[in-house]
Amino acid sequence: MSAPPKLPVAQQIRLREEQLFLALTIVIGVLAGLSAVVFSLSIDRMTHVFFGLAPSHLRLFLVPVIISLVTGILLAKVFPNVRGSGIPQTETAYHLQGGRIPWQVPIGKFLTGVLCIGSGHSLGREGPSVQIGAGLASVIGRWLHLPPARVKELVPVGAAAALSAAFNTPIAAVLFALEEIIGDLNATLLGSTVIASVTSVIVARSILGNEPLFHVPAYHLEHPAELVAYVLLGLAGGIISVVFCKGLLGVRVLFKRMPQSTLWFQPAIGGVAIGALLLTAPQVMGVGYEYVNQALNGGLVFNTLLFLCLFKIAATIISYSSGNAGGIFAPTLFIGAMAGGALGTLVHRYAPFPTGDPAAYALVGMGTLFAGIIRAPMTSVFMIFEITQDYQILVPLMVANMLSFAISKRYQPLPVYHALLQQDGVHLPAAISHGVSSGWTANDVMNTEAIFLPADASIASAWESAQREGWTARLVGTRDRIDGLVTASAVRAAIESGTTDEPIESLVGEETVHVHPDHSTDVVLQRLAESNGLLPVVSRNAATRLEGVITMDSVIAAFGSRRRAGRAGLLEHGAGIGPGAVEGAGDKPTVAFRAGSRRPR
Amino acid sequence: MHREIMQLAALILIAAASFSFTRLAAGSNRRMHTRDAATSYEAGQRALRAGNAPLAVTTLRRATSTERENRQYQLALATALAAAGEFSAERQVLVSLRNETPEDPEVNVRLARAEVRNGNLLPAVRYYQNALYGFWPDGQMNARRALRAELIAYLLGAGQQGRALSELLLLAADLPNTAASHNQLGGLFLRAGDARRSLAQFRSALRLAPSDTVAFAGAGAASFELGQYAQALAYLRNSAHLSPELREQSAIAQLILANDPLARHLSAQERARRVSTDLSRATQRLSGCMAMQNAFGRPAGELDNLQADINAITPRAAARAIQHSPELTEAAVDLIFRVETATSQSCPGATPFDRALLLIGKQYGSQSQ
Repeated sequence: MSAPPKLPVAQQIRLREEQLFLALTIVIGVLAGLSAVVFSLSIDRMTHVFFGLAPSHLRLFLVPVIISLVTGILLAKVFPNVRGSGIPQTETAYHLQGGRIPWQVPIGKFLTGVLCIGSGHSLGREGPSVQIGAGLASVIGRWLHLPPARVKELVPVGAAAALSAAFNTPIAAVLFALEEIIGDLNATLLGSTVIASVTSVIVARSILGNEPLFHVPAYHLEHPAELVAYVLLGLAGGIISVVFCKGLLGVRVLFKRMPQSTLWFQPAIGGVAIGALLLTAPQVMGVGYEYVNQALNGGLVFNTLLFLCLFKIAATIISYSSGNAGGIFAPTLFIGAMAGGALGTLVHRYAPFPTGDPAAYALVGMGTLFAGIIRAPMTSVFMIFEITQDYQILVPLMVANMLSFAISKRYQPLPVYHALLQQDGVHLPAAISHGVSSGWTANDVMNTEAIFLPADASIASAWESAQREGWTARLVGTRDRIDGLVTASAVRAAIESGTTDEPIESLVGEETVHVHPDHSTDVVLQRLAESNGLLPVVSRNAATRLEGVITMDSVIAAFGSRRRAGRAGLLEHGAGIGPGAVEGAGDKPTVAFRAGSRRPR
Repeated sequence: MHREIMQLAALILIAAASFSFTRLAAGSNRRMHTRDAATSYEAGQRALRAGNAPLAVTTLRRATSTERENRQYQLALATALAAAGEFSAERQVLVSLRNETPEDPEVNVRLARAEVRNGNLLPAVRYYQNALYGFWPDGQMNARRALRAELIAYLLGAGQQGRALSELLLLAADLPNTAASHNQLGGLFLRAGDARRSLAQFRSALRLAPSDTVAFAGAGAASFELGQYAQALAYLRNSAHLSPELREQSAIAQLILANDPLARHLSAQERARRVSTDLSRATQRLSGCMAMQNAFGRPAGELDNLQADINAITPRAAARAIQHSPELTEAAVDLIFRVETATSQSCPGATPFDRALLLIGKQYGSQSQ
């Protein structure tokens, strides 16, 4: 009998790689799950060490201040990349850095997260867990010398696993990884994230038990007219989401405007403010799930619910904006529970139709604020469903979520995580970046050479240059720090008005139309029409760094060379297919972009 | 590939070691939380004893947040919430406990009492019955009986005599054969309106404790309700300390026995005397009541008719005439009963004699029916 035919070598290698990747997914699921559990236990322990059972006022005030000084130094000098939530940073690593997360990140995030949250800052542990899990996955993938594409794929796998263990909701964790981190319900990674998420939650439950994170009573929709009340909840949730996001971003800008030398001290400023807040409202410290449980079980009265909602908003804004390590996931749920409970109390008291307990509104409120702030509506619905395991809640939840999401999107177009990154000069790709009408991108049609006007050049010298060289628009600044663009017509107008000695940068507009290297040519042409003929191409990693410029001439030249290459049969990827999208941006410095684009991402 | 498998094996070992470490850490955390919860519980109990309900609520909430499954902590929290006047929150805690252990008697009792406090009859009865039919540990049967007695008392207070009687029958089958138990049952049957069973219980108590004054008083009261006034008087005389109510009953019984014109074995003269006396008393009562009505400007109505009947019968009801006319005697007794009924409804100030006349009339009215 003859032996079965052997598979081709390439196929054998691919099969083994798939098996290895599957095994690796499971191992990452276990390790990320364990890391999330240990992180949570460490925060618990640290809170106990710092505050004990009944802390004095002095302790409530001093602990956040003193520990923030320590974490401020760590965040400024030792672990500079672990400030904030961890979710935006994980997205950056996935989209712009090929999934590369240095080993210092998960370690630093663990340490600073435990200290910050354990010392009373109003921050969540889920975001740091995500970054730790994703970091572990990235480190492991690189240690195993996996191809860069595989390393990148491991990032959402580790993230989902960590979130699954941290929140005990495996389905919501998978959806969050796909919806928020990848930004697409990508079927390619769905299997891996599910496996890792399920493995992780099994590990977590085997250690912590099956006790759910939130104990919720059975949910009932008492009367169809109650849906009106949930519409109100959606409206309120949307407004609160906008207020929270704008507050967070606004206060963060204030901190970012402080001198770089104060970077180590900024968390302590937050610590002082938090210490003062805790004297009045110690309930807002840390994650706060104990009080969420009380709200979900009707254990808080209206005044307390309203009070805690407002104080938690303030505390979270301060803690996050001052640069401490921790997320906004848990505070979002806290705020939602309190806001929902407060509204539910009013509805229960004054509605002319039968209504459910305020606790039911607290539950829906959690999901509503999550949809409005985090802007992950699918995750929100599944998360609440996994908590309640009750189909009855889905309709009111979706009604409230939809409204909150719509209002939040209307008045805060950029999701909060993307807005936070943008403040740091990082622009993540959006859906329009991935147009594939021609397969060509900005990178393919740009000219890497560019001429600049120095920012301090006078208007008079700029006018001379324009007359001599005949340019209609020119970039201002340097390749590493572009200030914007100035047109010849604006220079002429300035000359005629007599402001010849002013520096040319005074004519640079607030906003400059630009593209990124991976933008499709559809986007390029659209923006080129608005750009006075000169369209800068800037890095996503550092939005003030110029990669090249696009003009109509450069576009025509690029297409012309394609046609010539096609006739010579030198296309690498087959007929009709262009050179393809840009790879990950690699390790480029991240700098805040001074002049933002008007265009939505 | 060999290297990758080795690396994967190393990762698995690291995962296994991490798992063990994490389990140890989780166990340590759990013990820490258990200690904290116990400390908070003790502090909460101290605060409760000291009357500081808000502090008790805060500390007990802390205890229950870390030890959610601890029934003792949850019940203590419910107690603290009730002491702090947070009845809605108390109910939430108890309902949540009940959802986990629906057959727990103590939780059902607490819920029943909460519903009693809120005046919700049906839920209260339901919880009481759930408690009674729940699982009671050995040695708790007395508590179970006491609970049923509590339910009965509640039903009687709520005017639910029928339901109370059903529970009483169950209690009667369950109580031990002691004088105290029979006395308790007797009192409850009397409140429930079943004087016959009440008397039987008190007699049982007297059989066990022949000089039990409580049983005598109870038997007297039950006999009184049954219209057995001579027996009632006999029982009541044996009771050392009578309540004002029982003293009045005793006086009324004596008046009835002394003035019942339709009692057996009376001579014609005595019967006539009694009728005359009773009629005279009824006439006085009617006059007084009509004067009172006039003073308040109210129309006399039925009282005028009764006065007319009195005027009509009085000349005919001379003692001699009554001696020879049983029909006249009955008519007089009926009129006396109607007068006493009407005046008791219209005017205050009925004397024991009036009440006695009323009872005499009722007795013969029910007999004639």
